[in-house]
Amino acid sequence: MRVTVLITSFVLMIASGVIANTKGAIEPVVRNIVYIHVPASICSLVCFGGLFVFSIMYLIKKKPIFDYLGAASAEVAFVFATVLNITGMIFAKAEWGLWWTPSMRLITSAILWFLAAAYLILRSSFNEQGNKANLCAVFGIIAFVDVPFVYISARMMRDIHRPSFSFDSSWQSTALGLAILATIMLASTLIWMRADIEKLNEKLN
Amino acid sequence: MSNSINIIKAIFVKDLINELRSKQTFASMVVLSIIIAWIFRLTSSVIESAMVSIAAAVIMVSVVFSSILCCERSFAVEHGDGCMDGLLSASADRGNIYIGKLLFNVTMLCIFDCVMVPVVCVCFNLTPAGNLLKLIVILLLVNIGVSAVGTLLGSIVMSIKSRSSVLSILIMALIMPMMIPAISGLLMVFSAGADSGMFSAGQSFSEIAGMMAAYDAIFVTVCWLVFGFTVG
Amino acid sequence: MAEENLKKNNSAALEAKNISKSFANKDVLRGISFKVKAGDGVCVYGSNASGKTTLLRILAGILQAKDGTVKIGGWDIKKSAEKALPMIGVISHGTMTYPQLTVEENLKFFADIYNLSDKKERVTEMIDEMNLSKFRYDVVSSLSRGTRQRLAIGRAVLHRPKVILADEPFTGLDSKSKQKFIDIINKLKKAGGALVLTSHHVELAGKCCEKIVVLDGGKFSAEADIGDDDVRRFCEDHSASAKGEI
Repeated sequence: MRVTVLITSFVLMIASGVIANTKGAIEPVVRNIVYIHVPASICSLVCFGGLFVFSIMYLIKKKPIFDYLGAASAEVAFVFATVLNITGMIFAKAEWGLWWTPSMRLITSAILWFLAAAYLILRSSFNEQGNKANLCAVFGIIAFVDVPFVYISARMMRDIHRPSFSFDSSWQSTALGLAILATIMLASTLIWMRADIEKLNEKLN
Repeated sequence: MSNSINIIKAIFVKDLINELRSKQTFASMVVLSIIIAWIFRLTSSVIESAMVSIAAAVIMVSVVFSSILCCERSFAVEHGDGCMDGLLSASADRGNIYIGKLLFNVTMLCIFDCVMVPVVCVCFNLTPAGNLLKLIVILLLVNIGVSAVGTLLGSIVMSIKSRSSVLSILIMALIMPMMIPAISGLLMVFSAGADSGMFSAGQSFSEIAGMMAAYDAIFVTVCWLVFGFTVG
Repeated sequence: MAEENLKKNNSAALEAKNISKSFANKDVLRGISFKVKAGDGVCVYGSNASGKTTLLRILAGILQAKDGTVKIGGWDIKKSAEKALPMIGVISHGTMTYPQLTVEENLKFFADIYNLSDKKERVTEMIDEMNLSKFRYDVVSSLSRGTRQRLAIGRAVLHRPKVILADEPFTGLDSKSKQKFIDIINKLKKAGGALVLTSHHVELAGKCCEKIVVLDGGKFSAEADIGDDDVRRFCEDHSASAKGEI
């Protein structure tokens, strides 16, 4: 099942890439980074949502699998938040001549990255395993509650991240849609696999 | 209900007496804020025009780092000699412990602000210029927000060796959405105007205060609800 | 209400059913069940890391068990915590006292937490009973270990609990204080209270407990009446340390 989902996501990514390179190309070429940047942004938010749900499930049910899934969601969120920030910086430099500036979307992306990093740092800091799952679940819930505030408060900053172009053909929207779907499928598989590895680790220990 | 109020009051008074006797935390907070103010003042002496912005930053940095000291210490006291076990075996509602600690941390930060803000104003040659009430509102909302998050995180990091460093990372990651309107509000108070630097024009003080109050209300509620899972 | 529960139904002062607990997927306690009636005392004996402290912390409502229920005077410790917890007094490794507060302030604090109606009188009574009058206004950090332990005992019985849970209560006490503790416990038991204590000093435990149970591998491996001959031999025979597993 996992292999099928993984292969499907790669096929969709390739399809998205082919369409983006041919019918869906945006000028100048650096703007095509949007086909990676936007899916990474959506995916990191979805992973945060997953972290929230799994954290609540763990606190209610106390089943270790929810703890493993929560930790895996945070790791995958971190990966996609890193991709989001790096692709954002490349785009910003090419488009506006700045690697980074404290504007709305850039602050939002940075804070998401910090929240994921903070969760992973917390998780790796425990000496005794005793209450680790509980405490990480609590932080996962608080981190997700923070996300809407990140968006609301970032609106107070000047936004240089105004869309300087828009899609003018359905091919471009299709390519983006496929990329988003593929990325979400990839993220789900990664979370699933990572949770299994964590489960095996615990068994070995 | 009256039992809960008794417990909250008892924890608050006990922590205050503890701090008055040891004087460890408050002294560290004040000295740290003076050091921060001096470092920023020295390094900013070449940019006279940006003094107000830098002063607002100094106030925020001082509050955040001092809250880290305060929140960590408020739970470190309970973990020495099994005092937290005594509280847990006596109090049915663990949320009361959270509220008692929260009140203590907010009070400590408010007292700290009374010392820190005049120091910053002296260092940077500022006056709140008739906006004293706005300044008090902003600082109180910041204190509540930082304490709400810091009190919960202070309890979480008790199981960890490198408490201070992890606590500072966790607090700063979570309070960033509140720091943005707080800095915007402080700039307004010190008459730099809301339309300053990176902040967009058109934010009124009531919008800023409203956003911070919403953050405080939601985080106090959520942290109070989940606190029980962090102890025992 | 709970006292009526005790007297009418002759229900146990403390009842634990099927308590299980694990840390990091390792089972520490497995299906522990036992009852302690009003007026009885039970000593839990076990080698280091056998789970005695974990069991006591679950009975005191400090830790949550993975499975099972604990009832104090008929009240479930999870569902009716506000009724069950005031009936418990806990004595632990740590004295549960605040070092920067005085003896009187520590007792007053816990009197407030337990919402005692006769706060001042009860605090004075405890100070006198535990021979702490000389140290009343001294901060706890300046006291000796033995004096702090006496304060801990005073704190534990301040609110007139029905059940005392004591984890190695004789540690740090001189012989006079040990006897004082035993006298207080026996007085409490006569008034309908119950005792669960963990101790390696089975001879001392025998002065306030009637029964001894051995905790081994997360389960109760044996039990005996303290009156039986050579209880110490019995305990060592039934615990892991004797079998060379620790």
